[in-house]
Amino acid sequence: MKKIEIVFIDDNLKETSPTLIRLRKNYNVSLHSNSNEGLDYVLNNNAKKIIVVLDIGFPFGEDSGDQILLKIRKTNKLIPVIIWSALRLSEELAIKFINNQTLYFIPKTKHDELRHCIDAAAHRINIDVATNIELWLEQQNNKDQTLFISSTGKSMSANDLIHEIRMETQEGRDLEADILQLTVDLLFRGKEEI
Amino acid sequence: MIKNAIFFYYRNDPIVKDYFFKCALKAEDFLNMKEDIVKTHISDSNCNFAYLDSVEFPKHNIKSLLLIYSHGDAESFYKTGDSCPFICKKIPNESSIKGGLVYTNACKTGEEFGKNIVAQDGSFYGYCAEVKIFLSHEEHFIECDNYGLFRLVQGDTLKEAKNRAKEKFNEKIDLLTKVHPNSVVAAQLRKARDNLVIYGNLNNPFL
Repeated sequence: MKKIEIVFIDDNLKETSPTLIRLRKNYNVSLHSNSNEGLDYVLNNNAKKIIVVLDIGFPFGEDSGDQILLKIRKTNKLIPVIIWSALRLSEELAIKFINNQTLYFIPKTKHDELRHCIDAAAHRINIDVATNIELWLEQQNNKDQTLFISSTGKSMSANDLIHEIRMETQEGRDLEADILQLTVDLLFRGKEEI
Repeated sequence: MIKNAIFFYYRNDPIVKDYFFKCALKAEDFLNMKEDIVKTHISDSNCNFAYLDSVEFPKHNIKSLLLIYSHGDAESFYKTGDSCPFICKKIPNESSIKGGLVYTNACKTGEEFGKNIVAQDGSFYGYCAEVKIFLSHEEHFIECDNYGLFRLVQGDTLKEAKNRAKEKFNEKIDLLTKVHPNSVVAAQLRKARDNLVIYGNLNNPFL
């Protein structure tokens, strides 16, 4: 199984940081000091299993952490995002992060807690049905080619389905539910009496 | 026993292309095992009420097997396309329905459309939910869509045919989860299997 990638978007962190060095034992780690470059990297690497560790404050002219999060969520609701910042959150900012599915908020001083939360997020990625369907679809050849058609007339390519799953639309959720129901069926079919 | 079969399908549907046509061909292969069944094909632009009412249905005043390979919703089966759309909520010729059987792969028709067939003293075999077809694996969907018909031709009752069709679905699901893994496709076959419904005369053979 390919290693999960931890994408740090943080202008204060150095490549030589002990936190990054420790994490590299178990994960691929990339560091982006410029928030906009970090965002581009995330959006261009949707097809990988990634976890974003995001700072809030960035220099003038770059998007702030909450703006970066919003831009990620416009295209993908599945990527786990951990906020790691020395800033104290205002109520307004906290609501923004919570409503945009931030997985954890960790103070910058808590390095062990960050590693623990990254491990928990990685576990979630590995067992999350939607994420794994997304990755399977990403591996298909000709992702623009029609993959399925319903007899109500709806047709979708792998790319359409990836979008539905990432945006957690009804279609994406239905597909996730179908896979879960198949799993239950395969586990229990013919075994009504345990 | 039913001696008259009427096929409804579209050879080149704008959405599913020749899927319905292939289903109809497969069904015809099965019905050819019975030499005494008269078969009529109604396809493409002939799927319109003017043609059906004035030309086709008057010829079929006996109980019939109506094989409908089409798009569908809860209340109707329908044909798409700008040139000649067609929506059928009720089969106009009651004498072909009475004692007869509607066998269809049209989505959701097991909801209201199928129940209306029973109200006309007919029987129904079809799906009560949206059924997705993976064109990359269409052979499995064609086989499962038609397996109930194959069993009916073998003399099964509607109830037996449905149970055998579910076994065929299971066989395909197992194939797609163990031998040639493709769980997304298998998940749709599972969904189709669990939304297969039958109404009407369940315990006597039709063919």
